[in-house]
Amino acid sequence: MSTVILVGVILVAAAVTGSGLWVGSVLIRAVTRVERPQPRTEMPATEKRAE
Amino acid sequence: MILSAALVSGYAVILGSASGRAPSPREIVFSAALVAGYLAALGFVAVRARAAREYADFSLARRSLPLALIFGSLCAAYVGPGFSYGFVAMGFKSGVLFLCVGLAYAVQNILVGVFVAPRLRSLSGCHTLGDAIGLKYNRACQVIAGIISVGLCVGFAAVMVSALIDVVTGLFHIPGWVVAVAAIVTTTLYTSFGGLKASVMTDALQFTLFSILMPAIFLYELLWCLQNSAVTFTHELVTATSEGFRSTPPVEIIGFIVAWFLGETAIPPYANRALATQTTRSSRNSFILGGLFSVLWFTIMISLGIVARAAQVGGTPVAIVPVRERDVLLTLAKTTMPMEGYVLLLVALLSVIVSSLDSLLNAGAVAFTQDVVTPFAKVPDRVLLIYGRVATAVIATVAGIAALAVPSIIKGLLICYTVWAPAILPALVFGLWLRRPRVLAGMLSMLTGVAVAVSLQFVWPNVVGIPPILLALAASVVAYFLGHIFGGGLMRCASCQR
Repeated sequence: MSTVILVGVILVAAAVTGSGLWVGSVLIRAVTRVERPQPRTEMPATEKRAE
Repeated sequence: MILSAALVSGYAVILGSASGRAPSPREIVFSAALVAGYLAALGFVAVRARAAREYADFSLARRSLPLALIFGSLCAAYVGPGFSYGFVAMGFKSGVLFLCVGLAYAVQNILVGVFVAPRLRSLSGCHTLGDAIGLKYNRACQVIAGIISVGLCVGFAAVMVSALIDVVTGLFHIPGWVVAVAAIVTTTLYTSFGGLKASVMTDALQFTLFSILMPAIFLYELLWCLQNSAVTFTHELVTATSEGFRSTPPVEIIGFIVAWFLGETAIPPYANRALATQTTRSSRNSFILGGLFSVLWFTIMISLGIVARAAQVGGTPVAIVPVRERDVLLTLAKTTMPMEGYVLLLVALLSVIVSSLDSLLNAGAVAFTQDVVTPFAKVPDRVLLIYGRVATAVIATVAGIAALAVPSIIKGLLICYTVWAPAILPALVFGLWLRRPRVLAGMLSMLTGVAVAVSLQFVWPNVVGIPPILLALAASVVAYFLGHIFGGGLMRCASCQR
């Protein structure tokens, strides 16, 4: 019984750590993502004519 | 050069006073690197979150945040001093008794995830809880909800600042005002410039830190500082729990369960996170995951308290006798851990407190701008952003001053819980679920809830022996139904007018 309780709390500790690692990995992706500027699109022909 | 030498020697003195012995050069370097690394990571994330350019960035981060960040931020916001070292002290004193209290909190989070958060998120154009109430009732109700939200955020933030002073002063013997000013200035800076996105991203960092460090500290204590771990742990668990049930009156247990079940339901920082999710589905899932995580977290904190009852150093049992009841975790770390571990614990506790503080500052500022300012004037977006930033600084300053009047962390939290639940919950829940909620009902419920809760807290405490939160909530619900019955023809709600 004692061993079961001990293994239980160790698994709980592992689950808490796992949650931290999951959030941490998403956070790292979010802060290291390079936001590239939108490429300039070709102006529609009608606008070109208007200019 | 002289400045660096002064900084190093100052740090060594602080570290020495914390541990009660002179630190070695290796300990100074390692622990200073830890603290510097923590501050650098926090600064990097805050900078990457970028300054809010529009009010929509500041208040809801443009609803662009993924589930994992909202989940981490939600957990970081609710895991404050009470839910960390407060629970360790409770585990030490009464075993798993407080795990039952914690379960009430988990159930509440899951219920909010299922019934409230998705409905809140589905309301279009809402920035705050007050906005939602304004949409369901009318503008006056929005202003009342806004004032209550701002007041509550100030109250909770004052408790957080008080906890911070408590921890750092207790550890390092630094004057309380220095701690308060440093914490308020740092938190206000990144919260006021980055808004909700900075708050959520730094919270996610804090969550990552403490959810890795605290289980690591627990496992160290369990496996290295407990002789015959399994048997000793189970024995102490049973002994402490039976002592806890024997020494705590049932009414007190019920009072705690009710307070933990209702007191933090949909408070402004959580509501803002529910509103900032990308979809109603992630709004629901973040709260459900948050509720499940709280069960795991409380288990670890309570278990740390149980381990503290039979800790050993080098095979010799050491008695953990904290000077103050709540200092169990700090005393355990001081007695059994090397200095590096002690600094790690400090970093984890700072993360726990600062993450709750920044969420409250942002939520209070958004509630003020959205619910108290915009109902009275049409303000340009740029000016709203300035109002939000100034409100963040003002709320932080008021909370810093109010922290001096906080009686204790648990008492301070209970006062906030007792006011929040009766003041807002009936109006919010009935408003979200009734087809045609009536203005008089919402207004009467909020005003009665605040009046009864404040009276029972400060004017007539313990008047009938029933937890004040229950009495005030009952009064608020009765007021709501009276308003609903008699208010049909008096004032028309926003949804009826549409």
